[in-house]
Amino acid sequence: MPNLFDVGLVFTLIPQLLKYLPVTLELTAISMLAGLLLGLLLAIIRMKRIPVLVQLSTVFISFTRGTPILVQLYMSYAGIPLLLKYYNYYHDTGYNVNSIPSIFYVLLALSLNEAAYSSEVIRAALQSVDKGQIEAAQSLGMTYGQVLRRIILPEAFVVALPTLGNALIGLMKGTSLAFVCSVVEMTAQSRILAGNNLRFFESYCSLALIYWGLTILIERVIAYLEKRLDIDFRSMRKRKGDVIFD
Amino acid sequence: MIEIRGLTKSFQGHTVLNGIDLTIQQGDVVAVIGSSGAGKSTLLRSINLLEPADAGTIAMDELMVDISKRSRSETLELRKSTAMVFQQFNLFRQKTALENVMEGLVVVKKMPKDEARKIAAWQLSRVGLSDRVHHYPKQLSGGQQQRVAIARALAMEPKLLLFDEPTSALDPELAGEVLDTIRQTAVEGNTMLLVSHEMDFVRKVATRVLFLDKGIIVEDGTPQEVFAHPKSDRTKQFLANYYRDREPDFSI
Ligand SMILES: Nc1ncnc2c1ncn2[C@@H]1O[C@H](COP(=O)(O)OP(=O)(O)OP(=O)(O)O)[C@@H](O)[C@H]1O
Ligand SMILES: [Mg+2]
Repeated sequence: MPNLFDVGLVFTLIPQLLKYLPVTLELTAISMLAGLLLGLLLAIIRMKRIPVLVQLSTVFISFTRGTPILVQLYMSYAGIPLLLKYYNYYHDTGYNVNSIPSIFYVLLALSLNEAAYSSEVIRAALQSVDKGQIEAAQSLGMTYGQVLRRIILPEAFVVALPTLGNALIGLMKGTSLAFVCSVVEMTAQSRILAGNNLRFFESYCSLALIYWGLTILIERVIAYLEKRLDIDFRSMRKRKGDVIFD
Repeated sequence: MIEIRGLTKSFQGHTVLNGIDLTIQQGDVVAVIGSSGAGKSTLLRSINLLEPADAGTIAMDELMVDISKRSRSETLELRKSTAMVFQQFNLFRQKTALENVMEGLVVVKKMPKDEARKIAAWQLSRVGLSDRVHHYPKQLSGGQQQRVAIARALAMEPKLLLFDEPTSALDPELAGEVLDTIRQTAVEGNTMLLVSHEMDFVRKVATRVLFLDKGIIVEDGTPQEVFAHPKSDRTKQFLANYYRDREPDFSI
């Protein structure tokens, strides 16, 4: 029986792929944060029905949900340089397309994609906060910004956390498409390694194990957060004198 | 002194407040009674602009607000001068009793946290909840929640306290403890505007009783005057209906 599958290699390749873990994590974290902020903005625009912006956001969300993320990455990679060239042409500037790091195109596409999806989750969570608490906060003399930050968001966060956890996992796995913008993260690296030693399956097995592990890790973190946010748990901690989320 | 002039509000063409004029002196405990739909809640909610009236003015000491021309800062100032206790308590669910009371002090009054914590703890002790400061609303009984809400309102040291049926969401046993707390608040000299269906309570704590009917104050006097010698037929009818429906557990 020839040595068709080298189990040992699967494990020796893992450290080589992990060198690119920071790129994957960076893509995930930044896109998630930017996506959530923009998603919150979109949610507020839609809840407050701000004219013009609400129509624009509806089209944006529909478009983003209606097109594959891979196509969005292609569009970002090909479209942004075009925009820059137009800008240079009309403003007589000389910005160099090559000075844009390729990771930017990925971050842009992933953030916008995340924003479109999370805006609906955020909107539902914001609307789940009962009006009574909002009125109580207003009656104390809080501004809308204060009510949002101090009362609505903390409550909505608890509601949205499980869904956002799943979104984070989806996003993390989605970074594996970054290679189409010439960004080398773990998936791209696995293809490079496989191209050298022609051990494609082993390389992809290593890669899969890492993603799997990461997903389990994120699930654990979310579960831990949910537990910490549980009212009875928080109350118990506070009675013991710990100050959390003060 | 609080002066309300010409407060008018309608919902879809249906007039709910019809040019209310009301002057409240410092230390007054004014009870508002009236049948369902009379506009009692709307009156209270228009005073702190949760439900801004269509027209009218509200003056509190130096602050004078013309409702139809109000600015954002006037809205906030008026809300800072008042505090409201709601029928459904409306505590902040993600915050402990202590944090509920601290919230307005820290966020609105910009008080240092340590100072706010001391005041909040003191206010909670006054409503008898010293042993519940680290409990969250869902861990408290309705009566306890409402007492936290009263502590939250008192901590802001408002010029006017607004109570909108503070005990009607509570079982009778729990209503008692809340009524005791409100009575204590009244005795301490706070200026209060209180909507209540608890006539015996109103009779005991109010210095003045208003009977509101179809958006108009049709009766305004001491509890003695309003309950024993109502002037309008609507008031007589309302009181008769009220007492017919329950056991007279008091005597004049
Ligand atoms: N947001 C609103 N939209 C439309 N109509 C409203 C609104 N709020 C109140 N109303 C109407 O205004 C009238 C007065 O309501 P309000 O809540 O002030 O009565 P109330 O005297 O407090 O009655 P209750 O004793 O039942 O609490 C009612 O007919 C009510 O249906
Ligand atoms: Mg009412």
